Amino acid sequence: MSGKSVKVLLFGAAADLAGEREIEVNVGDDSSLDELWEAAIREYPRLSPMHGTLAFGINGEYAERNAKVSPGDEVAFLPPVSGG
Amino acid sequence: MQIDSVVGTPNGEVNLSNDLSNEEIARYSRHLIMPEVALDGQKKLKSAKVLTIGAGGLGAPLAMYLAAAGVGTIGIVDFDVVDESNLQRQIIHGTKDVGRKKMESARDTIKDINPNVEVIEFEEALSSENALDIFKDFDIIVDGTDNFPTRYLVNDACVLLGKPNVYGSIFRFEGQASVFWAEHGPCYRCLYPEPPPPGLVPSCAEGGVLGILPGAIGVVQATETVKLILGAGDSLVGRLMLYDALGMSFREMKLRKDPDCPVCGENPTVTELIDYEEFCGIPQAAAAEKENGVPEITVSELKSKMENGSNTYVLDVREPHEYEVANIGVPLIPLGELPDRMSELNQNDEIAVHCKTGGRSAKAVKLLQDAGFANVYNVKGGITAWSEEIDARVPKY
Repeated sequence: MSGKSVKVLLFGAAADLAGEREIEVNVGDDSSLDELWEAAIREYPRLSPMHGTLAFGINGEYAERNAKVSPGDEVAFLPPVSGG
Repeated sequence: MQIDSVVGTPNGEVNLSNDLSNEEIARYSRHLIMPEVALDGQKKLKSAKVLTIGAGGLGAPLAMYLAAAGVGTIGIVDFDVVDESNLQRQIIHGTKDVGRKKMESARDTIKDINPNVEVIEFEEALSSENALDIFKDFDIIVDGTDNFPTRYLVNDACVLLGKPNVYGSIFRFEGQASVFWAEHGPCYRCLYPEPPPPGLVPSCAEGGVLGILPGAIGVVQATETVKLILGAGDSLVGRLMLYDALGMSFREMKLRKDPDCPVCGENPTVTELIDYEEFCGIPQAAAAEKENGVPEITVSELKSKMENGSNTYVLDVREPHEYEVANIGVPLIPLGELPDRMSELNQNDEIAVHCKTGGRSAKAVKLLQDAGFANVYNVKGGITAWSEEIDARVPKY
């Protein structure tokens, strides 16, 4: 992977849809989470219906969709979970 | 975040009328010798009133440990009956309890662990009509439900009443926990403002769950509950804990309070409980399904067709590991492989498609119809209905 990649951790139903628990996504230097998402679903189109449902985290903190991500960051895609 | 105890007077004193008996002092000895609990803490536990929503996977270990710890009053909301498929994880119920009301079975186990606990029973479905009334006398609400409408209902009722919501949820090998308490931090809606469309996120019944997992998460919820009662340690307020049993890792995500949150934000638009089924799109999805429904065949109709020598081709679209558990001896093409394997089927055949309960097979029927198959039916209720109504030798899983 190139040095411009961002590690994305996938949880729950998102991990099942992508078939991976951890993926690498290439982004530019000044990208937003939304741009990272677009890049991720080009690679893993089955994730696409999850978009409105996910919470996102960057480096262990909740992040808005317009937040900036930089190479080297660790992003989390967190779907809601209902089971009890 | 450090927060004062949820019980006791504003200056921190606990009602002294709650003296411990000698039996209780012996029982709680390992608490009483720790300065973080001690006599004051044990009296706080005895004064505390905790409500658990659901006596299922999360509610089971939670209620058992809270009872053992000496929480004086435990309320339980549950109207379900113990089923064999519960026993793999709901350890408050035993084999002898199958068919009993969960409420009775849970109460008996709690009383067996600690007869000093008062159990308050709410054998009803939690609803927008009864939630505020049920919650109002409790110090802490613990969310152990298994569906999104009830989770949003519990959240909103807690925000409206200013009570802490000790949250936990589970899926396969993963769990989440937090304490949502709008007076001190974010609520569930700050994290997930919109519920997922029905069907997108599988439940435990659909996706499965490791039996031990609710033990791990329910015990985290019990720990957070006891900490809120004692006013000890750092609460999970403002943090979402993520547990992965396969990787055996705990992570956490810092949450933030959403100033625009519709229920706990600066200008709330949700100021009373709403219709949560509607909010989660459940009636809308059911109506759409009816509208776009696929042709169905019942298991008894299918059985008579098979007996009358009709040439109906029966297709199973479950996964191979499910086929291994139970099958009715018909060909298997998993739903995910169907688009690539349609050539194995004859377009002119009458085809009846089944899965476990009818959801995946409905999708398969739609796929086949779209590909030009004209005579395709969904087996209503799937192999589960076949096992219940036609042939009990086929195991129900």
